[in-house]
This record gives sequence, C-alpha cells and structure tokens, in this order.
Amino acid sequence: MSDLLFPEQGARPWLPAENVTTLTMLNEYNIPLAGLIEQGGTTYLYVCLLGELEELNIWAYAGLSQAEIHRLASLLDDELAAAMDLALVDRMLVVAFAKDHQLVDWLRIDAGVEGPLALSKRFVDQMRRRLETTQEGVAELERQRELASL
Amino acid sequence: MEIQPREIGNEEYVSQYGSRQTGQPVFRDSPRPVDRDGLSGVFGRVTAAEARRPVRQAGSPTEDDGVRHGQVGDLRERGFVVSHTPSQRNTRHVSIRYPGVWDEKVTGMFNACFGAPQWYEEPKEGGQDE
Repeated sequence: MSDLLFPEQGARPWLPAENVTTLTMLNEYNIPLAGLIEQGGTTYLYVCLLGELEELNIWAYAGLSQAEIHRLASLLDDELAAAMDLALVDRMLVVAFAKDHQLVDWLRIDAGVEGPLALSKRFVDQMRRRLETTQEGVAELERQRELASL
Repeated sequence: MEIQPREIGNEEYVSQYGSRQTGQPVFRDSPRPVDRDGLSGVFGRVTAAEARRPVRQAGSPTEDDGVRHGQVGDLRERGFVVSHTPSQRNTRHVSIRYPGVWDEKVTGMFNACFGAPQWYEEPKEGGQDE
C-alpha cells in the first residue's frame, strides 16, 4: 500500500479524489483549510500551505502514523499549527496547486525541514521546470517530420 | 476533539481577516459556492497579526495582512446569523450566515457592519503590532 495520496484533477483540495473520505476538519476559513482524510486505509493530513484567501493555492498531503493522528487530534490553536508543520517534515508529500478550488496538478516532493513557505517555493520551482521540460518536448515533437506534415 | 461553542453577545465584535498580497484588498463580502457555511471570522477585536494567525499556515505578518471589525449586534440587526463555530486550529472561529439569498444588497449590508481595514504595521521597538 502506498503512503502517498492519489489526487484527481478537478477535485476539491479538501476532498482530493472520489475515493477519499473526510475524517476531521481541523481548520476552516470560508473553506476547509486543514483536516484528516482517508484513502485506501491510510489517513492523510491535508493543509493549505499558501493562498488560503486567494483563488490560487498550494496544498500538501502527508501520510500519518497512528501516533501522529492521535497527537493532531489532541491539540488546539497554535500548538496544532506547529504539529501540522511537523507532520510535513522528513517525508514524501504530495504537493498540489488548485485554481478556483479545483486541483490542477501536483508533484511528489521529498520534504525536509524547510517549513511550509520554503516547501511552497520548492514546489513552484519544480513545477516551472517540469512545465519548461514539457513545453520543450512538445515543441520538439511538433517539429518531427511525420507530425509536421499532417 | 469536541470544542463546545459558546453564545456570542450582541455587544461583542467579530474580526474579519483580509489580505492585499495579490494587489487588491480582499475582504470576502459574499460567499462563493465553495464556501462552507457563510463567511468566516473570529470573535473579538483582534489585531491584523492575530486575525492572520489561524488562517495562514506559512510565513509571518506583513503590511499586506489586514483586519476589519464589526459589532455582532449590527450584523444581527440586519438579519445575519452570527455563531461560534470553533475548530481545533481556530477555537475563536465564527460563521456569519444570511438566511436568504446573499445578493448585492446583502453584500452592501454586510460591508456596512464593518469598519475600515487596519493593516499590519511592523512593531515599533518594544511595542505591539497595531
């Protein structure tokens, strides 16, 4: 069983696939901003990392251990925020961006201890590099004789 | 963890967090289809930094973070329902709903309940943020 979430394009960031179940909402501000969800028997933390009030936002999804689930369930306010930051440290994450509250694209990121802001920056940098590589590849494919002749 | 909501009195204030980091000040004044339960705020007259804290997971307050305050009684007089809807991450969370169509008139009434935005200022030596 993978401990990485499988999101779906177009899904709400707080319910990132059809086979996801909401367990607990930990935070909301107009929209859900953090909570626990379940997919395929694994419990994940979702957190909006950036753009909480805006139409473009970045979200992180982290698989949790039972100890982490219990810890998150027992804390309030700033202590919970600190525990959520810790739950995003030293593990593989799925980091996604959403527009108009629909998931657009995502990457697997090996998170260190950099924290949510630096993690968001790394995600944006990696996403831009992937986009550039894709654009270059597509342009080269379009120049191939077989395709160009059509 | 179950957090018991409490009654919020008409004499109390709610604070709404806003941001201008995309260039334009954003204080939500009408719910979008995705918004869960009306609009969000926190009870009490809190500073911009305090209003930001339960919303933003990353970074520190900047001059792009703002807050505006409204009295609960003013909101209720205009038909809004103000209730304490705490979450673990934001135990001061309030929901502001309108039991009807939230049209432009309602948006105008909502904005009329709030004062001018106060934007975060870097603390002076030994002082508070506002």
